[in-house]
Amino acid sequence: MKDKNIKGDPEFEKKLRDKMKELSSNVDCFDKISARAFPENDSDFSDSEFTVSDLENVTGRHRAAPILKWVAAAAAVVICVGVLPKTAFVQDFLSNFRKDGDDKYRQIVSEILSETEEHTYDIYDMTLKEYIAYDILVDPLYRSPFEDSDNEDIRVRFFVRTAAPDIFTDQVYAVEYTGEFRRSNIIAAAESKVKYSDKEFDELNSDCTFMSRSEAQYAVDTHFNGDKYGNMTDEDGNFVAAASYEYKCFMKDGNEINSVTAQVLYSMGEECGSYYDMFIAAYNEKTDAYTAVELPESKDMWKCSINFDGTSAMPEDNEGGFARKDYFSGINDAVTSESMAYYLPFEDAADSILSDGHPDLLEIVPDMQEKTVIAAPAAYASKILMQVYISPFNFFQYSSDSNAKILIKVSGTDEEIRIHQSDVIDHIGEIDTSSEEMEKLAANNEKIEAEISEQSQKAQEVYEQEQNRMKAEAHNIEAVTVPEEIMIDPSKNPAFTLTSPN
Amino acid sequence: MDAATKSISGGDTAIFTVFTESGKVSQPDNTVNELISDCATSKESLSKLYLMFKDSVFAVAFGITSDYHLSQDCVTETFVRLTQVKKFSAKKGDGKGFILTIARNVALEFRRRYKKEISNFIIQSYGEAEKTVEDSIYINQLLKHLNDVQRQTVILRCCAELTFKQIAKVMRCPETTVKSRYKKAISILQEKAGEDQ
Repeated sequence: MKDKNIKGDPEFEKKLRDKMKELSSNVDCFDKISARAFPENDSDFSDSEFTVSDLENVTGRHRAAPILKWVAAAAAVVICVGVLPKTAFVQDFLSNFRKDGDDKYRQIVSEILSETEEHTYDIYDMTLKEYIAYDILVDPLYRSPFEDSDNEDIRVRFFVRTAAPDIFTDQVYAVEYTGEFRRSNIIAAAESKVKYSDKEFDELNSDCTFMSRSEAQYAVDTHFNGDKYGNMTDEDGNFVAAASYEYKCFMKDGNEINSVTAQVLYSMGEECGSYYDMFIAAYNEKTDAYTAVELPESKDMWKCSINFDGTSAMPEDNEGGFARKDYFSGINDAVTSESMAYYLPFEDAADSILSDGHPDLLEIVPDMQEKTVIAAPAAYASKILMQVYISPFNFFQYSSDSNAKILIKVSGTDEEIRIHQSDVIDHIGEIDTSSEEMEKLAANNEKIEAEISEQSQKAQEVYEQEQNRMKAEAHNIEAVTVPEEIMIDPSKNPAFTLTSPN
Repeated sequence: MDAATKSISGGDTAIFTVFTESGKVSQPDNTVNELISDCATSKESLSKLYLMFKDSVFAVAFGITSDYHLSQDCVTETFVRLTQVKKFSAKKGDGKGFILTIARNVALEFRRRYKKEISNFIIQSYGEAEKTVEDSIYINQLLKHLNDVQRQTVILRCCAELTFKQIAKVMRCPETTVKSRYKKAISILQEKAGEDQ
């Protein structure tokens, strides 16, 4: 199905297509693929000089006799028990080690360090204060497992296991530390309830469908308004900045693993505070159905959160900077010409602005509107698709300045993002149609296109036959005969007819 | 929202509520889908898929890595992974989109892994067949004014010939965003072409 509303550049498209075809025509790697996909099971290596009769011993070294192993182990125990403890260093080390808390804490820290080294994790690092303020922008599924503290030197490192570069899982860890990040500086650690075994992880299909949906757009249309200057206001008339992002991840529910997309809609206002809500949907390709997922209590998502002395680090109440507000109930399912417009501030941003180690604070300064502030999600994949909403009728439409802009200052960098009118995606001029009607229209367009294509193919065939006949006549080839059914009289039998289903 | 809800589980774990979207048209390409289902065991099916999609997979990979050799490796890896797929619905799935999604994931993974090595494409390609280098440079020049996501969108649209809906699915973003990116990419290219003349 082609979209008639989008004007392409046929010349450029053809040039690119042709060049790419030329380039890929040199690629020939099927043998390589086939060898890897269908390895021969019973390859005969008997003629090879490198055949090893005992495959366990490929290095050719003599194995130590079992008795020697025992002697070596006994000697090591003697050294450890009898000699080492008498040295001052070990005495000091052991006493410090005992102070570090109970087995559980040490076990979690060991697991975090080895697990995050062994498997692929996205790592976010920020101060504890920042993490608590913006926890839903680090991982929307997990609220902070740590209590707030007056100590501004405490940092949090958050680890999310990833299945593909932009696909996350709900296996996460978090640690609190001071100074440089190393084992001895960790003061608290938390682990998620969900863990994936190697087998489960291997079976995760990173290519399954993570649907992008529009509930956040519907929700922002329902719960926010625009004033005559284009400012966004909440239901009480407070100036706010509102944004949304998508977070795609695998979620484990018992033995079942679902691919889910969480849409997070959030707002920040100087006078009214920060709010968020989340809509999580899992898509099942087999049944073509969406499953709305509701998360359990925040605390229940964590297996434990523990201080170095063995006490619980889990806060009594949620202390996160964002309070949950019901944005996703009772929303419409249609985009209208009055729907909120939006822009993607990071879509064209330079890599230096897109560092994905922590949530960034964006100061939004439009030419003719109130200044607002909003934070951006931590993950690169979420950041690049972050949508900041703006009233559909805004200053861009009446500004006499041809270079009217929204200036966005990103905290921690000297760089700025500039949003111009062409960057704003609005729905003005669109026909108010529900998703169902849009599907019908698209199906109808497809029928018409198929009809046109069929007709043009017929016309082409007739034209070619006619050309052949004329060539044959020109060369006086007597043997050439043209079948009667393609002898055409254009006035009676036009080669090309356009029909409309209406 | 058109949602008939049904609780599947509750308590300590997540609560799942099923809802279906009305009027959703799904027309999978069954030939491709069947080939995908069979390719793990049939070399012939794999070969057919390779011939059908080699060019598109290469284009997607080149759009992301900008490197001929890495793209060639992506083609190999994509088809090998295709033979290892365990969950694919031949009845419902979009085979072409599925293959190109794998290709995109592989290319992103390779680019991240070999980012430093591909930073200087021209030097890296020294010694290659002249035509290959020339074509690679030509395409990179054509697309140099576009950012990463715009390049991917343009290639998926022009070289892989996907619809905006399919591109949205492959790139995991809303269809409106894809359309806007495409419009913007074309306007940038036209503007730059005007400047060059």
